[in-house]
Parts: sequence; C-alpha cells; structure tokens
Amino acid sequence: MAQGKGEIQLHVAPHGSMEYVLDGKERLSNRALVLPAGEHRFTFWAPDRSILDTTLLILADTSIAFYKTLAPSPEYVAFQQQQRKVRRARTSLRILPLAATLVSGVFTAVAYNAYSESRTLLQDAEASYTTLRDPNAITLLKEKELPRLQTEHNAAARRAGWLTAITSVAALGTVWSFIKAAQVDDAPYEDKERIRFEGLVWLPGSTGGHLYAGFTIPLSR
Amino acid sequence: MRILSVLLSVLFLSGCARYEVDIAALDTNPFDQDHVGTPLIRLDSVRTIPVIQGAVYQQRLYVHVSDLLLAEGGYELRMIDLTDVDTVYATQAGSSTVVLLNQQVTLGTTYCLLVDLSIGGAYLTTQRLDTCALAQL
Repeated sequence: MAQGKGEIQLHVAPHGSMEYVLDGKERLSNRALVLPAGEHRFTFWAPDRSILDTTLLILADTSIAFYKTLAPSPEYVAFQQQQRKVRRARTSLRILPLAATLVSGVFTAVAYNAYSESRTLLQDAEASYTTLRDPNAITLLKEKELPRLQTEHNAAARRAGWLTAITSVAALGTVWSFIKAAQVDDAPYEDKERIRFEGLVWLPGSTGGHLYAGFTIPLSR
Repeated sequence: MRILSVLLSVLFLSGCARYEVDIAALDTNPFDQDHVGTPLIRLDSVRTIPVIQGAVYQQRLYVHVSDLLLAEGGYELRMIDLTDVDTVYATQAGSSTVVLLNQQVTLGTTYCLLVDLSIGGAYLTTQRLDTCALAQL
C-alpha cells in the first residue's frame, strides 16, 4: 500500500540553536520537513536545554505545525543558580571595600577641609600678633585665642591624618578585593544533555560508520 | 605588614603637616606684656626746679616716648612716688618728651619713683621705669 506524505513545520524554541534527531537516525536542524505519513520520533535538543523525546503523527497531504519551547536542563538551572551566587560573591567582594573607600574618602575630604581652615585661622592669628597695638588684645591672643586655635588645629590634623590612613587602607583593600574577585572561579558546568543528544546518532558509512560523541571543556572563566 | 607601613607613613606625613605656633617665642611686639626688646619709653633725666625760690621745689622727670608709641597715641604715664606715696598721671600727645612732676620735694631728700606705661587701661609691666633721684639744685 502506497504511503502518502505530509509536511511538518517545527517551531521549537530556541529557534536559532535547536537541533533534532529524526527517527533515531538523522541529525537535522531544518524547520520544515516532508515525511511519509505515520508516526515519527523526534528528539529535540538545544544547548543548555533538556532533550525532548516525542512522537509526532504525520498525516498524508496535510501540513501541521509543532510548537514547543525546550525547558532548561536541570544542570543548566543549577549552574545558573551557582553562577548567580558567584556573581553575588564577586560583587560583594568589590562593592563593600569600594563603598568603604568612597565613604571614607568623603569623610577625609571634609576633615582635610577642616584641617586647612584651622591651619589658616591659626596662621592668621599668629600673623595678627605683629600688628596688634592693644596690650589686652595681645594678652588675649596669646593666652586664649592661639592656644584654642592650636588645639583645634591639632585635633583637625589628627582627624585628617587618621582618615587619610583609613582611606588609604580602604583603597588598598579595594584593589586587593578586585584582584581577589577576578580570581573567584565560575561555577562548573557540563551540558550533559548535549552529550546524551550527540550520542544518539550512529551513522554507518562505507568504512563502517561514525559514532558521534561529545564532551565539554569549560573554557569561559 | 605592607599596609601597616603605609598607615604609619601616612600618619607620619600628617604629623609633619601640623602647624605649630611657638607662643613663648612671640615677644617681638613692643605692646606685648612679654616684650623684651627696645622699650617704648625711656627716662631722659630728672631735674629739681624751684617753684617759689627758697621755699617750694619740684622734681621733673623727662621721659622720652618712642615714635611707635607716639604714632599709636592713646597712652598714659603713671608716676608713683614711693617716698611720699603719691601718684601722678600724665599724657602729652604729639611730643616725644613727657614731663612728670613730683611736687613739693625737700632738697637733699632722695625720692624713689616708678613710671608705668598704660595703653587701653593695661599697664605694661615690662615697660616700667624705676629710678631714685636726690632732690638738689
């Protein structure tokens, strides 16, 4: 009995990288097929997706469309979760010292400004000594004003010094953390579904045939 | 260790940047109580003058006032007669010599006198003049 033929259009996402094995024999990637009527086994796969193994019925003189989105493979989902953790770890490693450096930098700038002001006030007061003609004002300057301004200046210099030191340490810490963050390894990932998929087809040839197999080397780090 | 050395270096540099005023070394202003340089007033001479011949005599202290003090103005001289416990005040604007009078002195008596300079109500103890003079013609 002569068999009719039917057409099938495959709309399986992700469209760009989807491949399939037809009836356990041929590895294909074209989206439209004309096949003999009857049941045909399709094994769909795309990178990072689970294999979908299904049987589709082709009707003679009929065009059908098949719509499906391949689900992410469990390994890929786990990898993504791990990768998110790695990224969070990297970000934390970079952000915290950087934020500390920025905050410390702002405080240092304010402290340095106060230090400069206190220094100017002290120098101006010292310079006024030579121009003052009022003994009371001179006594007040020497006994009250200058000691007060000197104390304030010393405190401002101490504050600016400590904050500069803290900011320097924070900046060094930031550099160190960026180096360390760059050294944090990506989560390991192996697309096991790909290996399974590529192991499905064995094509006999004139010399005996080829066995397709696959393995993954994680190069992106 | 490297961080510690950086920290210490920064602290050291900050310490160097501190400005210090040596208050004790501030003594160059002649109007300062602690001034030790050229005085603003100087005793020129002491003379005894008859007010009523053969009866009343006075001592006259001639005090030289520096140009700086003259230019500033607003000063006062106080003379204390330690022998008779008597105080005289004098201000003579515009003249470089101020005359302080010790009234009714007795010839042959030595009078010890203090002259203080006051500016703005403050007596400059470092400018004090101290002299003892015999009342004689």
